Amino acid sequence: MLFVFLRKFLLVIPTLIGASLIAFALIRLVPGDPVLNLLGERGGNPQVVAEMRAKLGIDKPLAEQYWIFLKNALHGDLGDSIVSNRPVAEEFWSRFPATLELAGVSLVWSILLGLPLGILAALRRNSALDYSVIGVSLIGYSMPIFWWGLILVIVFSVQLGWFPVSGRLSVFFEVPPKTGFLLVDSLLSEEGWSAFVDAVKHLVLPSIVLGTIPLAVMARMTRSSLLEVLGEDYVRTAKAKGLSWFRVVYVHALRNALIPIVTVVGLMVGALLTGAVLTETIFSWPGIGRWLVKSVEARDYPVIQGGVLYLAFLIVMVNLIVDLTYLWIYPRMRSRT
Amino acid sequence: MSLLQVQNLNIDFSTTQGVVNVLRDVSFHLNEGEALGLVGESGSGKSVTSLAVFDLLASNAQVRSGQILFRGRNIFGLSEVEKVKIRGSEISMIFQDPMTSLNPCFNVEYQVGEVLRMHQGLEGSSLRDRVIELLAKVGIPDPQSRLKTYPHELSGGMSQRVMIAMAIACSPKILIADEPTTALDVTIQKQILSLLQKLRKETGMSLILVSHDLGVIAQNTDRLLVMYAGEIVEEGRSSDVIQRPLHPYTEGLLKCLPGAYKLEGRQFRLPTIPGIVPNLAERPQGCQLSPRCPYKFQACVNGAIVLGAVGDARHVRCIKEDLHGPA
Ligand SMILES: Nc1ncnc2c1ncn2[C@@H]1O[C@H](COP(=O)(O)OP(=O)(O)O)[C@@H](O)[C@H]1O
Ligand SMILES: [Mg+2]
Repeated sequence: MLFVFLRKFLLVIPTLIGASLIAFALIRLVPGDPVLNLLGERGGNPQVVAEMRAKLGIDKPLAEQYWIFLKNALHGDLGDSIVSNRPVAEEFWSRFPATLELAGVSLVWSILLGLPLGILAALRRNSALDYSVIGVSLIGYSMPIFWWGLILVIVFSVQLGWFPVSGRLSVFFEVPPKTGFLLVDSLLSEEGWSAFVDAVKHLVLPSIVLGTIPLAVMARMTRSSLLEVLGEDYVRTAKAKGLSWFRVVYVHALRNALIPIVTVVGLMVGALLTGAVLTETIFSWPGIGRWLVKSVEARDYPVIQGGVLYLAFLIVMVNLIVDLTYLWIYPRMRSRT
Repeated sequence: MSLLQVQNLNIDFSTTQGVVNVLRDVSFHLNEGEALGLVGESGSGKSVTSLAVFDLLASNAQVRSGQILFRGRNIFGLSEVEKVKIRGSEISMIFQDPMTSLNPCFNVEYQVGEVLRMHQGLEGSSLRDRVIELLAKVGIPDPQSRLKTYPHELSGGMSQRVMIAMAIACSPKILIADEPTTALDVTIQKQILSLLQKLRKETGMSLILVSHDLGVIAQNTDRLLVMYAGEIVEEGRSSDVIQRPLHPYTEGLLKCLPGAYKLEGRQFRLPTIPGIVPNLAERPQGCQLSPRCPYKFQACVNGAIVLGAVGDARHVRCIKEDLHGPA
């Protein structure tokens, strides 16, 4: 068991190197250059440009640049943003709570809705309810996020005026940042409840958009996993033992059905963090996604390399947590090497 | 009155091939303390019969007619709550594959204890003591240390013992063992069968032993039923049936056995039983065995053959001896 974990842990390193290498290479493949961006369309004095390039270290050969980046990263230094001159790490952590809040809320509601929908569909197999769950999840899964977001904004913000169009909080609220999570900070602030309600209203549409695909995946996965487990011998044993229908389904079957579901949740966390890029852009959500998009526009190399590395690290950590969860649900894993 | 009475049971399954009649007019009884055998090739309807006693058939099954009386009450007429009370406490069951019949997510103590908690409301240390006692009773060495064991850490034989412990936890009146040893090694098979015998004698419960192996059935039961294509084709005291099978199918089953059950001085025209169990969606006319039977007469396919009494406590669904006299 320890061995399995050690192996997983060692795999983290090549994963992170790979992710950072891809980010490093891709951003340099995009035409343009951070210095020209900074100096504007016209460029400027070629000598100034060369000096700035040298200062940023982007005049060196690519391999050397990557090596320097990697070496510094190992020491915890991801460099400074070219645009803001602030350390990438600081910029990352100041924006991360916004993304985490959005992704977290999306994940929670997609699980809270997807799990029971999947269970109901499995228990009423081939019923109208089952077919609707399958149908809706298929639609949800194939929905283009950008289009879906715009439709929601047009209907619920522009026409009905129920929810704000963008941002995390209305301008007239003054909420001092404590945790970075507005759902918490708003309650701690002087404005209290009304600020909290405002923050919730801002979260509704983006989290629906971001949670749609996870919801669809969750419902479908739960349904198929539970259906499979309900046909297992031990479920028949549970029935023959004289257990109530409730215990058979929710204790004996669901526990086993959760194994693939947990895997999916793990994968979804990754999808949510990356999916946040689109959603945050649509809703001007001040999180990691929008920050990365802006940095690509500005060719802010250190931000992109560092930001992607951070995201990759977080996703890898989530996967390790998922593996630990397996051990808890599924005892057989505990002795497997 | 018998403990269990199955009367004219007809069960259909809806499948992609349409509605298939799987059990045809199955009737039998089980006496208090008796060991009854149910034997037949795979696909003959033994498991469907066993599960019907629990009313635990797959959702595509339909009981077309007949009833199952347990202590005089029709199982199919009971409410779900009443059935749940009977299952696992008054009638229990063990299955063919013990390794997959235990839930991989729960340890032995939980799974055995669950029956006692549900049916008898035991909790805490009295529950644990009872679980240890049961594990000892089914021959699990050092039961205390096995409590926290998970199914994947158990061998097939040990798993079946745990299943048996679970099944006898509430001192049931009837234990149904559906091919309890088919998935196990030969030496383990013997141990499990003698454990079942021992428990039956100690507790006075009735046993329905299901197997495709006539040898196993003959050695371990008082009376047996031979099933073919969802029908009972022969019934009698196990020793009588072994000595003088009346149905050609029983004869064929017997012939398949090695050594011990060879009949002396009898000529068999069935080296084994050629052919296969009929597709239940397209049953043959008349006798179900007729396409495979070496004794076949015209009368066999003219109409349904009834299960007729032969002497004392024997029944056979065959007209061979009526037409020819004893072979
Ligand atoms: N859920 C089901 N749906 C359709 N047919 C079934 C189902 N369960 C059993 N059968 C059919 O019923 C017949 C008897 O099966 P079974 O009782 O399992 O046989 P046995 O236990 O004697 O090997 C087989 O032909 C099998 O295909
Ligand atoms: Mg069977």
